[in-house]
Amino acid sequence: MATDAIDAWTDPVSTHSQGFQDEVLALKQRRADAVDKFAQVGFPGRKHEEWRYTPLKSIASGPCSALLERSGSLLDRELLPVDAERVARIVIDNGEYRDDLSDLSAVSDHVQVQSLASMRREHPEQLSEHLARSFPADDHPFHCLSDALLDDGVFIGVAPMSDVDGEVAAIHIIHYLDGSKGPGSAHTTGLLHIAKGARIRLIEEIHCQGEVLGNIRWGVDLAEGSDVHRIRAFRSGCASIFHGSRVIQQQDSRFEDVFTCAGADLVRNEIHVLHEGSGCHAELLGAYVACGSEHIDNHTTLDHLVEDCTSREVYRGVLSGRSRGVFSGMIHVHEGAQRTDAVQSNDTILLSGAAEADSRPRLEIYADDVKCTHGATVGELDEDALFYLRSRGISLGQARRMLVRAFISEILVATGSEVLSDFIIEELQQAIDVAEEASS
Amino acid sequence: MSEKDELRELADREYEYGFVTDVESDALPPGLDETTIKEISRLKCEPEWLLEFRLKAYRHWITMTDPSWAKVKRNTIDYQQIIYYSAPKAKKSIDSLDEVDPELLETFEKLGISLDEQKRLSGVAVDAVFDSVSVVTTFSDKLADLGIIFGSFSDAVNKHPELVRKYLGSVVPYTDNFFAALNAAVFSDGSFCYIPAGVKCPMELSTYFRINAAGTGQFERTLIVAEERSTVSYLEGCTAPMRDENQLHAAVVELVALEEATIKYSTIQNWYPGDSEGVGGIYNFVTKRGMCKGDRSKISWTQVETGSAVTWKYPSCVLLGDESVGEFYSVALTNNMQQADTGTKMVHIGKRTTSTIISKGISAGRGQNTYRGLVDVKKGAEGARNFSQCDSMLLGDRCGAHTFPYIEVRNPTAKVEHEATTSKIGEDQIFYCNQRGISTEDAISMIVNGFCKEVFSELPMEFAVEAQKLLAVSLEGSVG
Amino acid sequence: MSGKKEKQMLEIKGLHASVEGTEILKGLDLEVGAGEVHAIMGPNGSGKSTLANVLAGREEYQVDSGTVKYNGLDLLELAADERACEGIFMAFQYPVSIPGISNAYFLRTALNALRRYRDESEIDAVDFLELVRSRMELVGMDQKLLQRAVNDGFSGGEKKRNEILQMAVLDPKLSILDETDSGLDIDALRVVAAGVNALRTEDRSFIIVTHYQRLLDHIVPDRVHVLSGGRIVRSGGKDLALELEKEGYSWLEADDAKAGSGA
Repeated sequence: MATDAIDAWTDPVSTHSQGFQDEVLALKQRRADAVDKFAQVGFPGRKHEEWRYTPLKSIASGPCSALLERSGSLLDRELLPVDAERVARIVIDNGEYRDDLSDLSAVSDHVQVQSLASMRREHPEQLSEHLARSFPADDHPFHCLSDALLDDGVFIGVAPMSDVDGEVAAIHIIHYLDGSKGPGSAHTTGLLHIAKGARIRLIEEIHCQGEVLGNIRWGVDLAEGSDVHRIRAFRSGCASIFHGSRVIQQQDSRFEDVFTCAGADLVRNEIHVLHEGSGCHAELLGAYVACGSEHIDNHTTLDHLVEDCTSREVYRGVLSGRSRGVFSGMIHVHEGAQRTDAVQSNDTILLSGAAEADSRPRLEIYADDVKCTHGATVGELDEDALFYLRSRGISLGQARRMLVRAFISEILVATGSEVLSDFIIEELQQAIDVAEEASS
Repeated sequence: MSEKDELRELADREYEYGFVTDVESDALPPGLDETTIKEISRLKCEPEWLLEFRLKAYRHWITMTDPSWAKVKRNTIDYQQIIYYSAPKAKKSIDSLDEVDPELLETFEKLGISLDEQKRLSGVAVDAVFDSVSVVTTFSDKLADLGIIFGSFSDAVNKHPELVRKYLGSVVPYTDNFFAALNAAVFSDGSFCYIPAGVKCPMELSTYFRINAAGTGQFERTLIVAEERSTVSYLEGCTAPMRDENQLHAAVVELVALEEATIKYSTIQNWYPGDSEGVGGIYNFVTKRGMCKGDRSKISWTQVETGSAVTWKYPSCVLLGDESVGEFYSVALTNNMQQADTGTKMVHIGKRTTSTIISKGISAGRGQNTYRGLVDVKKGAEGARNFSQCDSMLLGDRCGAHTFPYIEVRNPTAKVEHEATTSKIGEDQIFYCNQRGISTEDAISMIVNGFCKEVFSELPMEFAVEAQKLLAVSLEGSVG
Repeated sequence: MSGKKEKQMLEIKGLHASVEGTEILKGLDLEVGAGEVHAIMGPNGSGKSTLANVLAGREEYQVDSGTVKYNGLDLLELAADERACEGIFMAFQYPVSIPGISNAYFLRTALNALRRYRDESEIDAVDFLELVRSRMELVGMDQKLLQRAVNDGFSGGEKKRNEILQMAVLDPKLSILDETDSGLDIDALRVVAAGVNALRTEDRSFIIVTHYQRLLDHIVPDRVHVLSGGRIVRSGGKDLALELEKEGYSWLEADDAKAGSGA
């Protein structure tokens, strides 16, 4: 299993990692440990329970083991319509934070943004502390790569707003992964620290070109009473993306995440939320569409560590062609986490005979006074609903379209912006239309 | 006396079936190699093909490793310390009940199982298995009139070798898993049951398993074949003495349902669970699988699991025939230090196959209860349907309830639904019942039985009552 | 006024009780004669519900001192279910739901527990159904609710009617209605009151805990007590309730110094 990875990845990883010579000890050690760990574990095969459904073979064989370099000119892509909001912009180009293209004028002083590369140079100890807290060492292959190849990314610190208008600060983050000069990977670390009572809205989008692997991880730290609302759009035509978030919530904080994916060769979307303070709420929503031989793999873990926290997860997928959609959720209610209220559901619509859905909504409960429910459904579009629409004169194609749209729209409401929601729904819808046409 | 004292007192009541019967037995020395297997086969006067089957299984087993993926903590098993064959010393051959060792009859009397056909309710035929060997089978003559074969596995090997040879290992091959391989190598006895075409078995068939001798493992093998349009309802029960060691029970059950046949298989599992500190108890690692081979065939599993220190079993259905039906109804209760990792696999292969899973897990004390289930809809399973409902109830805040469903769907016309809920018995609910005159113990038992009623209603009437009582006894001392 | 009582059912003397270490009842005295209806009124937090729960035997309510005699028995020595078997019934302010147990099964289990306690044979299913049906008419409850799980998904009004139905079936000697009127519309209130009135006999007594006077328009009490600061500060006939309705409870603060003198 791991042998391919060792051949194709271990040497480049080890070589790249040695490019960072004069680092503080803590960072150096972290890098070295990660290189060793990665050499040991490589990319796990399907016998590994956590990777049972994720085909890493093509990644392991190594076409993307080279690092992507700064692209000459940015990809010409239509961006999400966020103009209506007072929004700052951060551009990350093949893993590099582009100061020259980012525009922070829209956010006031209470938001501090710094490239990770500069933080690495200017405040290495601080960075090392943040990393240790957000990403404890494990044998996750992508975490190992992030640590071994740690170079750039972004640090965002948000203080409570003193603005009179009370408008929530918003930051638009655009990742470009451009492999037109040859395949490669980019490894980006984001750190988001929200101070007590502070709020922020993040809109993150990813664009790919060519054969690339994007490895993006976020360490999110929410202090007491803070609030993060994040929207992630994996825009159509994505290649291979690993996107992982580790979210630590203190008392009465709120984290809301809306994940959307309009198709990608291979996506592994992981969120791990830890409720360390009571009264927290986490809301994890997802809408994804896959066609052809695409593979979208979602993993959520909710660690309810203390009492009186709530969480709600709803992931919805529409699969056509020979695509595969995976949902693997875990709600872990620890001893003493009384009065936890957790809901988890995953619904999948299969549009084609060759598509496959795998769902594992899991509960692990060690406290008795809790409300935990989960549900999963897999099936075709509801025939009664289809018939009802057709009996009102709507064509079969149109009726199918309407029902699929309704199915994903319910998730997108949570973006909190009609313009944004409509735009994303349209993109998801188009991906389905193209697939449906191809199959008919 | 306060609620708590009352419950504590009840909790101290010991496992009712923990006695040891003093019978002479023939046993092989502990340990396992090819010689042991040849010896078992020789003692049982088995044909050559069966010895070959055992040896092939053994040779495969030694290449395998003891699995560790289930969510259970247990001691490692030293397979060389287990006695693989132990049988009560037999008087040459047993023709009537009078010739059975009275100690043995008494043992089964104590367990509430009368082997005397006169005293027995006419609706149930019993095959009693003591340690590794079938002691006696009731009503076999009456059943034979209908062409039904019901008796010990060893008997069937000698009298109906063609049937046994045809179906043995056809549903659970010896390569299936570690314990299935071990069982195939060393199984000593078990029940065999064959229902000919068109026959509806007029009575419940039942096997009662009893582990008695110390240091022995029990490796029985059950095979039920239901021919076209036949129907059978089968029930197994099991108990064991209280011992400080962990004894291994690794059975294999294979069911084959041909066209339009129905097999209903119920289990009331009450192996010794170990003491309140988790010392001793049975390791119950069982492979049970049914093959719905024919169109419109049906296999229904119902289990009430209250015993064993560690339970690890997934009674499954392979739905091969079109429109075949698989069902799994389960109540699993873990109290004190007990652990259960149980569930089912429903593999939909045929068209318009349907499956239903109703699982009720009750955790008390420091018990850990895991539901693990797979619903696998294969490509060709047009119009397959599954509905799963997995509910957990927690009594107390030191136990755990876990739900691990695996849903894999490869056919768009399939409809799969899974639901799960978690609940507890609240102090306010108990007080409400108290205020209406219902004692705490009755209140808990009533609420738990209400929680399990969809499963109990699947059991044959007589056993449903037994199951309710068993649950009440197993729960004693769990709240307070 | 209470001097000529022939038969005392309940006698509470110097009752002190606390919840989680906070003292709520601070020396409460109360006597209820057989066949009497007593109303306990008072502002929020005065200890009304505590009194009801202490009498029913809820374990979270700690009795620190005082005595409660009930038909000659030391009530405080009995467990909650024994009290119920001795004829004490509490209609809960917030009846809990018990999913999985049908209303009919629950009620029959309770009735049989009471009958066993009195060494009577268990009631058979037919007689039971007949009894319940007749009592359901009395409280105007939909028969369908019998097969539903206990209070599960019931509306507020349905829950309260269900409490009265249980009271009517279990035939208690002393019924304690804990804020049964809260959250009820006028129709439901009338039904509840009619249920209680139909059960009024010479040997059944009622303690009606309420914040408002409106229930007492329909159930006319023999005595009205005002509970404040954990003690009964004033007692009187049914007119006291009307007086309270007009004046509210604000006078209590002014009267605080004299508290207890009216009892």
